[in-house]
Amino acid sequence: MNMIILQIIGLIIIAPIIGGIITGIDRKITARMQGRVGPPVAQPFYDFFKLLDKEIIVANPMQFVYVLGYLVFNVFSLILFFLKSDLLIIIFVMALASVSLILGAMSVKSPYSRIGGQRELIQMLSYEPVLILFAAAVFEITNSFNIQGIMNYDQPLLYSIPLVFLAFLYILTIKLRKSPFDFSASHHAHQELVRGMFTEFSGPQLAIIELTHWYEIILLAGFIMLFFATNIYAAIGIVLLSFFLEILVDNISARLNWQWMFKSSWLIGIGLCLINILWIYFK
Amino acid sequence: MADIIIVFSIIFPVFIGLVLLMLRNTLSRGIIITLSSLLFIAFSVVILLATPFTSSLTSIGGINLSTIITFSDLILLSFLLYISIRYKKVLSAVLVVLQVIPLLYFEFIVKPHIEGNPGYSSFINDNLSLTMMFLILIIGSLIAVFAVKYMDEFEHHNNIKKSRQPFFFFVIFLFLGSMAGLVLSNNLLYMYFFWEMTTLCSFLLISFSKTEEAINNAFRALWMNLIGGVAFIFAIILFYSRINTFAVDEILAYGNSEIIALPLALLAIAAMTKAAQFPFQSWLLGAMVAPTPVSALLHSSTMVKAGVYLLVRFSPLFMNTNIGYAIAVLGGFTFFAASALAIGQSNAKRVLAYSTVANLGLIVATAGIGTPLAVTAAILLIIFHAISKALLFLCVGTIEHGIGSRDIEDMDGLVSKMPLVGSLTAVGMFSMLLPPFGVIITKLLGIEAAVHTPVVLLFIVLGSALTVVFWVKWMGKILTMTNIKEKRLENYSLYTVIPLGLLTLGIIAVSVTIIQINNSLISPYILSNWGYIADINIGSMMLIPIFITILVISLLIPIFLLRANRLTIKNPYLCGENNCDGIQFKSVSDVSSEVSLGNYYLEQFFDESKLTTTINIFALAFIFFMFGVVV
Repeated sequence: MNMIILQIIGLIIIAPIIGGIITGIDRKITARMQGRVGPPVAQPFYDFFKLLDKEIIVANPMQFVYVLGYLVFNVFSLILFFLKSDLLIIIFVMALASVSLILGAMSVKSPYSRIGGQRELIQMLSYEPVLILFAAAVFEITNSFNIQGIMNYDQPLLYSIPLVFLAFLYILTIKLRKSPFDFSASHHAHQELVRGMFTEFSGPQLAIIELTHWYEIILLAGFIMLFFATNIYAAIGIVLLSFFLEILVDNISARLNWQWMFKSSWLIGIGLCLINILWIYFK
Repeated sequence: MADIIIVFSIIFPVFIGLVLLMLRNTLSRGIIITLSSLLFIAFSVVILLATPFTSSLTSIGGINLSTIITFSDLILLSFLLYISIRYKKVLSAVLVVLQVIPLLYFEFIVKPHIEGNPGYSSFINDNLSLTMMFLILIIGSLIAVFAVKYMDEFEHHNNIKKSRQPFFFFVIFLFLGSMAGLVLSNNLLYMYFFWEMTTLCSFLLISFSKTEEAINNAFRALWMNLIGGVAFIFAIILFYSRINTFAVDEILAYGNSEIIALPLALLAIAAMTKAAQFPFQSWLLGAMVAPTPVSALLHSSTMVKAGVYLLVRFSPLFMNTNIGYAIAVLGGFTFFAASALAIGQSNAKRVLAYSTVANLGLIVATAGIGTPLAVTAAILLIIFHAISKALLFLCVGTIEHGIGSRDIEDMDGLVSKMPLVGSLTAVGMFSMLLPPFGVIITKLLGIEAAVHTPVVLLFIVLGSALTVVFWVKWMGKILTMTNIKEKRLENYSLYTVIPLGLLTLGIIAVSVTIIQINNSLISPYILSNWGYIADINIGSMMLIPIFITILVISLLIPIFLLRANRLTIKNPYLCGENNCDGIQFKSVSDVSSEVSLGNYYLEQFFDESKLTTTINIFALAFIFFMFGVVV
């Protein structure tokens, strides 16, 4: 019991550090692809500490509660993941975290954050079905919704559900807020929504949101690693490859509109998952 | 003892209703309703302690009970016929006649006599009926108490000179008695009578305000429910002609077989009209013109639950059968389609109505799947949805009286104008879609139960994703806070605050004790009907730690609000065109404009008028499919 608590504390401390490094490498590679030198790899950490130092200015007194909810429940789902718990509850707690942030964005009477928040809702609508269908596909194969079941299964999941993996990569673009699905935060197109959902978060609150993004990256990496749970090196390799693919797609595509994202992720994402699930079901 | 409990459950609410029919002022009404509510709640504990019990009550005061029921049935149907003729509603009249003729034929020509069957029970109270009795007695009481103050304001707002509240409360309590009779009946003819009684009560309450719209909507509810009544009576006749009984326990003991598939399908039609599944959903949407206590009591927590109760009651026969699969597909489709339609609505009560239809669809789907896990999810969802939806409807009613509108677009920043109701509404919505509260956990169980039926699984998955959208954008609007001092629009009458508060506490209590509820209430029912129980690993989901985390974060809320004056609060960024006062910006010609923000309704995808026809066609197709596999 004590061992597990120590491991969880270790996880909570180390995960954002790795997430931050991945973010830094992301920015470096993106810069190189665009023919720039790019910031140092440790830049996300410099930004984090600078934000923490800033004055606390808010648009309403409750904002910090929503930001705290976003952080705490993402960490919670990471802990649940580490404890090899039920996949569906992990997905729902992740949804709880995202909803907390969306509520924080919508609770300010600003056009940018309201539109950003609702676009984030549509993004959630686009990727949730694929995540849950992924859990269902896992059940079809391992007969359990628990991650422990995946660990006990002797074959890599990728061999049985390659299409689900492709669908997962598709919605990973949405989750990581990369073009062509970078709507809610307008990462690159500041003239459209300023900073979208994050417009009214500043200083320490924005620092915590950044921190939570790093946790999210580790959580998503964990999901990808589930597809090849038998060999840790292959799993990490696939994670790095997937993230590189995401960076590549980010840089070669333009932002589209939410209607396109919604239609395509439901058609392609859900379609791929369904084909895979039905093929397993009928075997 | 059992006989006394049963008679008391049915007759006592009616008696209270008659007393209320004679009272002319709010004070006396309030006292009687509060006292009888306390009595109901105490009585529900009595029923809990006495469960399970059966009764072979066959006569009251020397008169055969079946004769009394049949006689009352004919009076009821004649009254419905009279109303239909008086308002020149041909369809309703025809549907009443279509019930009277089979009933007369059955009772006087076929002359069924099942009371003599060995082991016959006219009423049964097992854990499922007990669960429904809790909902009827406890939630019903709280809503009745809420209605005391609400109806006063309702008649005041609508300038009604001569109060019709005595009649209103009479029908409410008549309804409570009918629901009790419905869930306790084991004899399908008795259940049929109580079923049509709830149809009548619904009609009287929807048409309460006597406007043309109300009367039209009441008749639409009437004819759609009458279709269910026709299906019900034919189902009874078919049951008797095929297996010589129409007692629920004897039908269940018969086991699933092709012979009873058709009457089961007819019962499913009756259940689906009562539960407003597609294509019968328009009556529930139209019923939203009724006063809010009606919407809360009949059209979300209790009467529509009678429909799904019937399906859950017969769910042991649905496992691994074609008819069960067809019902599951219908329910799943309703869940998906209703959730989609709710996104395009801006009328708050219509959003709640579509959400109700959706959740009922999920209950129908899990009942149709018929495995122990699925039916556990169904019963749990009945409980959680009833409480949460009751709270939401009562809150929306209070909001409507406070701000004078039921449009979501007018609820911007509600939590500043009506802090208590606004916060409780947010809690209610939170409980409908987020862990660790019961509704989402039962959706999780529903997904787990549906993995072996891919079509139903797909509908449930899509529906769950869609529900998040309309709840969160509504929540976001209510929880908006600006630094403008808003005028408080709340008045804190006890009749309002206590029901809302108790319902909120109830939501938290049942969600925290979900494992205990499952073990003590639901698993015994599942065990006795299926022989084995579902393996629900809720324990590993760490729900209690999530609850504790939410509690801790919630405790931070008042701290943050109190520290608000020490925070630097600035107006939102408006590209440098901010005006100093309020949330305004300098528009064309430096004119000050107020910022006004509307929600997304995604009409491109989820417009009600565009989708409804297509959805209804699909639903009808699924119904034909259901009859196709059983005939």
